[in-house]
Amino acid sequence: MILRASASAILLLLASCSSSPVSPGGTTPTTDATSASTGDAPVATGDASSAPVVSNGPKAPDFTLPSLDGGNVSLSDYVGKKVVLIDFWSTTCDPCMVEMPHLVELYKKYKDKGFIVLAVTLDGPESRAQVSSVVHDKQMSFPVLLDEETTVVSRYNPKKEMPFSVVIDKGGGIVSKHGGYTPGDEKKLEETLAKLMP
Amino acid sequence: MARAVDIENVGGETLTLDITNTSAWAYHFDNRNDFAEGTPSPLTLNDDRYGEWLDRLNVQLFYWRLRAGVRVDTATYGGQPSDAKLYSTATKRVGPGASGVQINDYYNAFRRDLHTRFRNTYYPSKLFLGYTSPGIDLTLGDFYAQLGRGLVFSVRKVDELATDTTVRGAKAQFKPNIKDAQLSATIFAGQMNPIRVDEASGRQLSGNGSPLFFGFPRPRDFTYYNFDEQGHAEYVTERARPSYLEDSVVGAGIEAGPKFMVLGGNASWLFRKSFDTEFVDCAAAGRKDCAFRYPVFDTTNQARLHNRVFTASGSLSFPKLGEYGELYMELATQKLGQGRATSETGPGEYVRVPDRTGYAAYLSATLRAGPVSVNFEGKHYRSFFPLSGNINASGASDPTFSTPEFDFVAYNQVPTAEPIYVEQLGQPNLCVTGGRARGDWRISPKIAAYTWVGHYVSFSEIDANNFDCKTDDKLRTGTWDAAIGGDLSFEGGKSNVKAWAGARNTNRAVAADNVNTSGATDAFYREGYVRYDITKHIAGDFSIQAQGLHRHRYEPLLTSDSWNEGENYTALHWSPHFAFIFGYEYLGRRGCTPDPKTTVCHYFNGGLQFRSADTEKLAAKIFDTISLFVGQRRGAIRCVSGVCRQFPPFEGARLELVSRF
Repeated sequence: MILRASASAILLLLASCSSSPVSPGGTTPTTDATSASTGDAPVATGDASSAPVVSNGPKAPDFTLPSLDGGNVSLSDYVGKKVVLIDFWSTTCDPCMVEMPHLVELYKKYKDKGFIVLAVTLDGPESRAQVSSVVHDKQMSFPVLLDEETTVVSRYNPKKEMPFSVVIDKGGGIVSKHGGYTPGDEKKLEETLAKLMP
Repeated sequence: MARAVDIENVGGETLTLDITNTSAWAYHFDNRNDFAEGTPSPLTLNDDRYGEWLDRLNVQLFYWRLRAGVRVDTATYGGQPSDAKLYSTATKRVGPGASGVQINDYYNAFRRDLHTRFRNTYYPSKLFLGYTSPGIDLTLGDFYAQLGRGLVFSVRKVDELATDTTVRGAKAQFKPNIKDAQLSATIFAGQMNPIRVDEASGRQLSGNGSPLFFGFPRPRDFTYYNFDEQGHAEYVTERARPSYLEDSVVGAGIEAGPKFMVLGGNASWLFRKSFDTEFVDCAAAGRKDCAFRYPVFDTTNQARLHNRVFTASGSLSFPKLGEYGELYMELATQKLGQGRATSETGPGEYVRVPDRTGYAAYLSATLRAGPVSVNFEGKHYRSFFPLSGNINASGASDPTFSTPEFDFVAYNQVPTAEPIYVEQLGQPNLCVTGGRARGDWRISPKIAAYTWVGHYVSFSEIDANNFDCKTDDKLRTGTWDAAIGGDLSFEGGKSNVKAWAGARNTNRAVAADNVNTSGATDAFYREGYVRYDITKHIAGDFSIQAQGLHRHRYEPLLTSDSWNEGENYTALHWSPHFAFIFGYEYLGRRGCTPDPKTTVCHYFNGGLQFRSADTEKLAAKIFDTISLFVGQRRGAIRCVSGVCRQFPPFEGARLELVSRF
């Protein structure tokens, strides 16, 4: 007997677009790492009031991806110059859409202090056409990179959760990883950023 | 600090070890899918009352510009019925008065199904070595790849379908960062590496022993007890046959141009390992064991009947039309050559499945003006086939060694220009013309509205085997698909409402007589639905979420009555640690359980999720995320971009643990 039903179910419910498909109820958002507020205290180099703050986090692997606007962008274009937030998202991920306005606000607030968001979309052939509209609608003024092959996400986030954010300090160290989104997560993210950009 | 293990100053560089492990334990009770009276398919009986432990250990090592990784997949099963229990079940199901031969045949059917199912499997599913520097990425081992928009080649991480296919070989990518210009080039070659255990069904895929896939599962002989023509009992052994003949691929793509306009070219060559001529020779010579010596899979699917498939495309894109939008066009062609040999006309001369040629044209355009953006996608595909894996998906004709659950494995993914959750009927994208327009309107920072309408004309929904794309009206279906919805955000973005309603109507161009019991009708498929996702912030770190969908559906080929189905999930979130979930699903189709009188089936479940949100304590690393699910879910066809597969219903308990170091 063939039953035809929807694909969404509990997968989206749990505020993450992670995907272990098999599993009845088996998909959950995960927090890969804590923010600096609960992890290692960032190590200040020099005067903490003005100098960049770096953590002892593991080095973020470099990558190069095509940009939505054309051209290629590498992580190394920003590492050492800015605090970087890599956000893995897609147009078909509802929690990503809920989280995105908060990232836009954080970007506006901290960009002058040396903060950049690299929004890495995982949209494939099924939804790639919608990316431009969503970027416009959500007023995403930071670089939007296209990981259609899912190559970069498989390095940073083997479970392919979405949204999934990685904060990288100005020294290139990974400060935090966080999977899924529930209301209030943006507050903890801002605490992390504030410590990195005093 | 993020989780990973760093070893400082190894030759002046930092060595980073990153480990992610996902374990899931589940027990399956009777999932109520054995509908037929008497002797239902063993597939639907064998999937009751068993336990499983599925694990994926992902280890990555980063050093300087180098990286290395391995993923070990394991599947361990327990609680499967003993042979005595199987025989007892077969006896009970066949009923009183059945002959010993009948009981034995049915008993063997259970064992045939289990021959490739619920086998404990431990293997290194992915391996890679890589080098990355700005603009250069080299990989030896397993990698994902896509050319263009997926028409020519696409293997991505698509966990939504419980699949994870990579290429095992070598890949080089060049993506220099050039001011005011776009240049990227990709070249790769290797053998296709689909996942070897289908976690949804417990089915094991076994290859033909390619040296690239060392440590992977191999086929096994099948021995069974049989009665010969004189009624004498004997043991018979069927020699082991693989269910996957390793496909090889070579692909290349380039995109170049000034940033505002990029030209692209892509090509892939798929080489299917085949023993068709050897099999024909063997059979013609009257030799035994031909099927074992030269495995050839039984199929009528043209997508699998050619040993060489060449696909190429050219693309033109304008990533940024000023501030007003973007445009992308891709035109692809496909040549299916060296068709399978079906018989011999003379020494070394064979009758082959004829070559085929197809093409596909795809366009996407986005226009923006102020708060409004409009996207249009169009497609025109003619005899454009999926690059299906060379997998034995025959099912009924080879119940012992086939793996029908892997039927959907393919190495390209055409854009469908449809909502991603649309369930395909037939092979609509084999021969289709259509498009969809979607409009988004940002009314205010907190309110957005959107709508879409799509129209598609397909000649391969009614007949999925319309390989020649005959444009006979009797084969034509026309579909209208439309929806309208909106987003509302309030309380500082902590509370949100997203809801939309839509309808889909597919009609036959020529009404068909006696479809099911509904008589003559032009209806092919009809559906109306609402979907919603509502989150309300309560206080502090607490919020409540309701998400669901409700559908009214009509599919005359399936049943003469329309029916309702849907689900609602409610969750209480306590950020960042906990979520408590209660779910309800229903299916209002007559006979949704083995009891034919049942008209509505109800499914209840509950869940708990814990996230540690801590990194320093060992316990927090081990128990990074815990998810518990208890209860029932209905079966479903799940689709992503026109690729669909069946997930069986579930009844039981499942615990998943994610550990990160």
